[in-house]
Amino acid sequence: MSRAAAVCWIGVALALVAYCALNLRVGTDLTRFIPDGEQSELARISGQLAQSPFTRTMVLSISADALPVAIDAAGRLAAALRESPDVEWVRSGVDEDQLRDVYDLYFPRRFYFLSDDPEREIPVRLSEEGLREQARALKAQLASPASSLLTRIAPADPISSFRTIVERFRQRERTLELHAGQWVTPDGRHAILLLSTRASAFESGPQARLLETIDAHFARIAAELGGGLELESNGANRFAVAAEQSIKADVYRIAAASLLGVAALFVVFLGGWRGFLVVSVPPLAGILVATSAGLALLGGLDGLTMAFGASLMGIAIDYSNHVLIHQRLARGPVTPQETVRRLRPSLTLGAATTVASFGGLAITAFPAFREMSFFAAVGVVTGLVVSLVLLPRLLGFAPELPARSSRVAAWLGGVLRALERAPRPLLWLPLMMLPLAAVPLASLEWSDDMSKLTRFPGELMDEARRVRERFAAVDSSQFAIGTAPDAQSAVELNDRIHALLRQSVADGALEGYSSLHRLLWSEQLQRRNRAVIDADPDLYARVDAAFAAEGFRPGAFAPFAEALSEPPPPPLTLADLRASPLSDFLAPFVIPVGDRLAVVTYLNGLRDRSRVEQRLHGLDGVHVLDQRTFVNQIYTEFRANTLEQMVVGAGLVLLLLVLRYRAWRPVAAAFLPSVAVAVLLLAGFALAGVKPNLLHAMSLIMVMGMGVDYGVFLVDSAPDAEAADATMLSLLMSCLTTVFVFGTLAISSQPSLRSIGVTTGLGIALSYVLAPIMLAAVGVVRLPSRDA
Amino acid sequence: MKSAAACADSGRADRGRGRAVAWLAAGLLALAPGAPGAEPEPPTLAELMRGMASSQGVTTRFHETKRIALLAAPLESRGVMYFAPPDRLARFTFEPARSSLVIDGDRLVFREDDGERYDLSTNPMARAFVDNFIVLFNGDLERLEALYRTELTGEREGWTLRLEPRAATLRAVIEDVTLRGDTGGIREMTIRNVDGDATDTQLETTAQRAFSAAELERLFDEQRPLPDALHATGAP
Repeated sequence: MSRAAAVCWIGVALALVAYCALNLRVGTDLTRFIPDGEQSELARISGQLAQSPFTRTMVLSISADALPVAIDAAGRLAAALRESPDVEWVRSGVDEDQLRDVYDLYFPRRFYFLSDDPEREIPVRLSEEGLREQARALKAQLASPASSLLTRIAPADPISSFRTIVERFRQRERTLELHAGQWVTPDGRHAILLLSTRASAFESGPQARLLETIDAHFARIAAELGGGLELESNGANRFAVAAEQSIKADVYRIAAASLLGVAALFVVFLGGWRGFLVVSVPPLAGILVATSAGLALLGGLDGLTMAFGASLMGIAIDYSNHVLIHQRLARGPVTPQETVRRLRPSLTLGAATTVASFGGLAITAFPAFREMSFFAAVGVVTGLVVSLVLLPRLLGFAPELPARSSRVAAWLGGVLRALERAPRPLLWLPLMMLPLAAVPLASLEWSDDMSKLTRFPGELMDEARRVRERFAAVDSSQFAIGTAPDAQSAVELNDRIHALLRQSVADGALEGYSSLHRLLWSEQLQRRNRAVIDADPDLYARVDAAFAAEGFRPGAFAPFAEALSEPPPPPLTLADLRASPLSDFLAPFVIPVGDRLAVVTYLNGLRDRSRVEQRLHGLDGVHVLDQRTFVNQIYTEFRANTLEQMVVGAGLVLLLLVLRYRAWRPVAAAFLPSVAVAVLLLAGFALAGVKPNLLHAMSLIMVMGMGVDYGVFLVDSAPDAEAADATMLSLLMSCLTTVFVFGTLAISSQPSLRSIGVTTGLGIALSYVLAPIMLAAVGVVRLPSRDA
Repeated sequence: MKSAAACADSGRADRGRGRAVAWLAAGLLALAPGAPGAEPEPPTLAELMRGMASSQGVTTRFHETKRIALLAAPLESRGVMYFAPPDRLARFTFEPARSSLVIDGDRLVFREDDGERYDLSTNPMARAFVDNFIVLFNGDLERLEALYRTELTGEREGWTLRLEPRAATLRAVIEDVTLRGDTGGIREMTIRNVDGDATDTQLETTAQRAFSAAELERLFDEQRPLPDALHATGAP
């Protein structure tokens, strides 16, 4: 290659690398895995709920030999963590500042929040008997040593409307007690802190840093207090960091095994690393161009697409491998360009069938499928083009193959010829097993529970369960969600949701719920409350009389009369809350979704989902969402469509093969190995009791693509003994490379990586075994001997 | 609460007996011929606190009167108080309604008859109310002077100790605390609030005794139902 051409190629490559580096943002958007327009809004909300403040909340539980020590430790830890840049806030109990904020915001509006059913309940509350009962209750409270606060508020609020608001706020904290202002579990053994992180729970860098910070502070505090302290915690971030650490540990282990295996392979068969570098150019070019095109034309790429696309490069490397080995094993002076010209039809058909196998994905309603199809097509075609155009010019850098390579190639060719002489029924045995495989296949069960794809340490799960039980944390995976076009209608919708869920709690379908209703009612409901108060012009006089009858001084509640006669403040709005110091409390309950607002109610102890759904059925735009079930349903549908597209893709591949070969024997020889691998693998899973998942299905697509390539390369090289030998060696190289690169994932501790490894490793090995057997079975051509 | 002389009468504390003898001796000396016109010396605060210190435990009935501006008449309540050194105090009210206020170290919990429970550990008024008794029953002069400016007037037979809070948080709520007592100990405590309300607690029958472990468990167990009546508490 001339220097100018080399500089040109390198320049283009560097430009693409720079473009990708500057623009690449890989993420996973759930909405890409559901059909366009269908439940997309719910999927968007679901995705945002995964980032909601509840998922960023950690619960820290501190225990010691004596509770005062635990409380002391909790106070010190809270103070230390408040200084951390990774921490949004820390709560250890009732905050005096928050009480003041609640007072400032709600006391002037205390008459707006008396009752959810003001026309019915307020008259009862303000009846003669109701007022006298409140007077007696107030008098009893005044007898307590803590009456100083009451004596300040009661003159302006004898009907305890502000106390009603505070009680509504305190409902959340009923599961914990307060000791000297510090939350403590009811058994009095653990001090509890709540902490919110700034970063998403799934950003492993900041979260790992924060977990280290917590541990370091706690160790210091424990030493200061003389030891005997224990810290346990629960939070989504702990699981995210644990998963990443586990996967990283796996990756290092697997990468080492992979690297050693691939290195050994290339040293043994290709004479060194230079050969590996040369054959890596086309697949790397494919990834680079596909990524650049994806960013430029699609605006971004999903993480799963990138992972899937990278695995497809295992196919692209076969092309360059095939060229290199054929070139090096060719007898006589054959230029790389001549080798490529000879192999062009095979390589082109191989690439075309790979692209065709993804063709079905391109026309589905799933954005993720379309993206994968695009990435695969661009990547594979680029790999092919680079193999045909650039690779011949690079082959000079690759060393000559060692002598053993020729010997192995010859031996493998001998095996192929021996197979051709074997009895046909024996050769057809694998295919005859396919109908038998239908039996276990019928009992094959798929696993669509995404939570099973990641394994967490048992101690972490136990610790999380213990802390959850202590704190009775809000279940952040089950919700009632309603969307509305603006803030006012969103809060009104929330009022209606609250009213119906209250009935669900009453009839036992639901244990409880946490709702925006604790903080805010619709302006309409607030005004209704005030209207009932204002419609009673004698209210003050009746209060005065009723309270006087219970021993209060006549005229003691003059401030109440003033409050009633003053123009009322405007009702509390969402904007008011957002602008107040209490805005943190608002965040979990109101989520913007596009140009709409979603109000989220967190459901606890959902016992009868269908009954709750029935109650909410009449409300437009309201859904009951179980996050785990919803996500699993999405992936179930996606997995099912993957399998359907696999069949569609296989049909397109078959069509291409028919168009190319126009005879049944070569078509069968090329096509049957991939079909047999898929059926036998799935039947094997069924027999072994393995429940395959989405990752098994997607790995199967890759394996089937490679299986077709093996068939095509063998069919095309069968008439020439030397070519057949070279092909058998190149396929062996391809098979072993795939086993080392992907198959080693089977040793991972993570189920997700194991799925890919087992499917790929077993599948590609089966493909290599079945391809020559099928070639011999269908008798494509009588293979000439090497001496012919 | 019994003074040292009272302790000597009951024959319980050597320290109390010795002190009573000393007071008696001082009294006799004062009356002895040869000391015509000798005036009884007023007690010092240190002596007062020493006398009030109880190393065992205290049980006392109380009658409390709250004068609250909102109410036409004072609010009266009756109950019994228990002090177990060094920092546990349980106050049970039976009239007009049952309630309890239990202090155990830093924890201060108020319980109503309907089961409602309030942590008042950080409430300055409630804290002041109970701290006064605990500090006095412990005879902790240092702590008393840390919390209040003190002014002691009168004589041993009838003294008045006026306390003015030092801390701003307490001064914002409490004007002053006035204790009245005699040789028998504290008889009355009056807390005047800044807003004009006042709480007057009369300590009636008082006994000094140690509590058994079972009694302590019964008295300071927040989970146990409130006692039904005075007699159920083992009050004198």
